[in-house]
Amino acid sequence: MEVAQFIIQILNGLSYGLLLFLLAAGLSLIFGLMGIINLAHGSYYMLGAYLGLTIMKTSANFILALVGAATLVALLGLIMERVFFRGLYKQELDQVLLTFGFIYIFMDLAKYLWGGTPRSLPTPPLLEGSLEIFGAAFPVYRLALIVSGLAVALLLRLFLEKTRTGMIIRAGVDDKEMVTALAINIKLYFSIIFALGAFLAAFGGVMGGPVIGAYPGLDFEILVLALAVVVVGGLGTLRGAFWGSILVGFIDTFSKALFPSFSMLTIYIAMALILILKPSGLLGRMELS
Amino acid sequence: MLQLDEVHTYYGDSHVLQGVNLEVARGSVVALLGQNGMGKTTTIHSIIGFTPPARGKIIFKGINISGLPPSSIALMGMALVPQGRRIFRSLTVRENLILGYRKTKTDKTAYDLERVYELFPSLKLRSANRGEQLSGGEQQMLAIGRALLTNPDFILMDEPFEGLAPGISKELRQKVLELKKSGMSILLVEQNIEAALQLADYVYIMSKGKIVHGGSAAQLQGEKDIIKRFILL
Ligand SMILES: Nc1ncnc2c1ncn2[C@@H]1O[C@H](COP(=O)(O)OP(=O)(O)OP(=O)(O)O)[C@@H](O)[C@H]1O
Ligand SMILES: [Mg+2]
Repeated sequence: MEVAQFIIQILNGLSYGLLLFLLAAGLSLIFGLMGIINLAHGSYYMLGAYLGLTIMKTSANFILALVGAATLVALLGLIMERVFFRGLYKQELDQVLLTFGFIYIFMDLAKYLWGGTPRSLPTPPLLEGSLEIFGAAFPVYRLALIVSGLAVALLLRLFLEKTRTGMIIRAGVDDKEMVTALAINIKLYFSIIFALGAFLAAFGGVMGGPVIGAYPGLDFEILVLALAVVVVGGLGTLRGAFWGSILVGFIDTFSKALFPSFSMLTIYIAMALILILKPSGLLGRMELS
Repeated sequence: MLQLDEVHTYYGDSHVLQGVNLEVARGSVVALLGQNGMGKTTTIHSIIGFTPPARGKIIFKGINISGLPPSSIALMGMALVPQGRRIFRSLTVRENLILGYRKTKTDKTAYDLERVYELFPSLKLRSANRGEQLSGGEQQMLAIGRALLTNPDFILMDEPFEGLAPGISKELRQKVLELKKSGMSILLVEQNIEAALQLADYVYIMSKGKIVHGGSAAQLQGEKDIIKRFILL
């Protein structure tokens, strides 16, 4: 690989990793706080992409598509949490089955509403074109993905570290029962983190739209990668989700470039290695049991 | 302040509390003594609402709180210093303290951050450290400080001196004694009869999920040897 190619691949890995982070952050925090692995998280991403497409078509406004789609999916997440998950805390098997069921519902719904052919979101005009890096072309939009991913990571970190709500969420990840003994109604925070997770996933779906598009099966594909991220990075922490995402983004990008037919296998090997060497993930606090 | 009336609590099929009766009068310290696995922590968890009882009444300030969620029970003025301390390990000392802060009283007896730092100066020095970086003694101070900052009328303390070095244990017993003098009502779980007799006005002894004996501290002082031999071994 030439230097220019190498740098381009690094930037590709970074942009893909940061996109995955938008998904993995919610997945990891929801698990950390509530003990739920929400398999429908990939569906939030896919629904975000499709809804973004529709809003974009009617309004031709990318920002509106981004915020609108993410807000709608956040509402969906909120309703799912309130109506379906409230009664199922600590019942892991039922939760997994329920979230699995939702995957199929959303999959069929998306096929019904948007059809089966792959769609692509238009790149916002301001971010069209490409830059030249050591003589190789790099799309401006991918750079925007990197910048916005980093911005979201920073905002999330500030939210968790500096606000009272963030402090309660971190305490809940440590010991949620003890939080309730301090007269704090933890269920309110379950709803907040569920809605936030869904918002970020759908936000990622729209952001990724111009590059990855929207198609049936995207939900599963992206879910598997997000699960790989939380296995690699560890569950329950933002730091784990961040570095896990970057790592999986790099592994995926480089293995696709170097040995295209084995790219998914490389991720599974990395996952297996980390589970053997450090079952709680690189930066995680909880073991997958 | 608190009264338990025929409280039965289960973990699944296992019948752990088998009709517990006890009472804590306002302003008094009551000790609950018993060996490992007798149901002391289950009693505490039944009161705060972690393990709601299947039967029986728990009357707190005249209201039956049995079955209420822990957050509602805590809101009524109850605080917990749990067994094993259960500090929020990724939060700083300061965050651990302010998390549950409630300004329910306005007089001088009310606790705020400054007052807790005065009570435990070493916590002030460590205020920016994370919970997991503290020593056992400091974690215990933090657990007590965290409870005080909710400005409760009643505190449940589950083996607060467990596993501490003798010096720090003595220092903390002194602090609990000061709390008692300030008029705080406390239910204190202990395995050590000496600590219980030093701090409590009244002592209950628990065995296999039931209260098997009870008496004032003065009364039990006289029966100490018999209790040690036959009940606590
Ligand atoms: N979560 C649980 N599930 C099932 N059984 C439990 C659970 N917690 C405690 N027990 C059982 O209930 C009984 C009482 O336990 P508890 O923790 O109340 O005892 P304890 O008096 O506090 O003991 P220690 O002094 O060791 O803290 C024990 O036999 C214990 O094994
Ligand atoms: Mg106990």
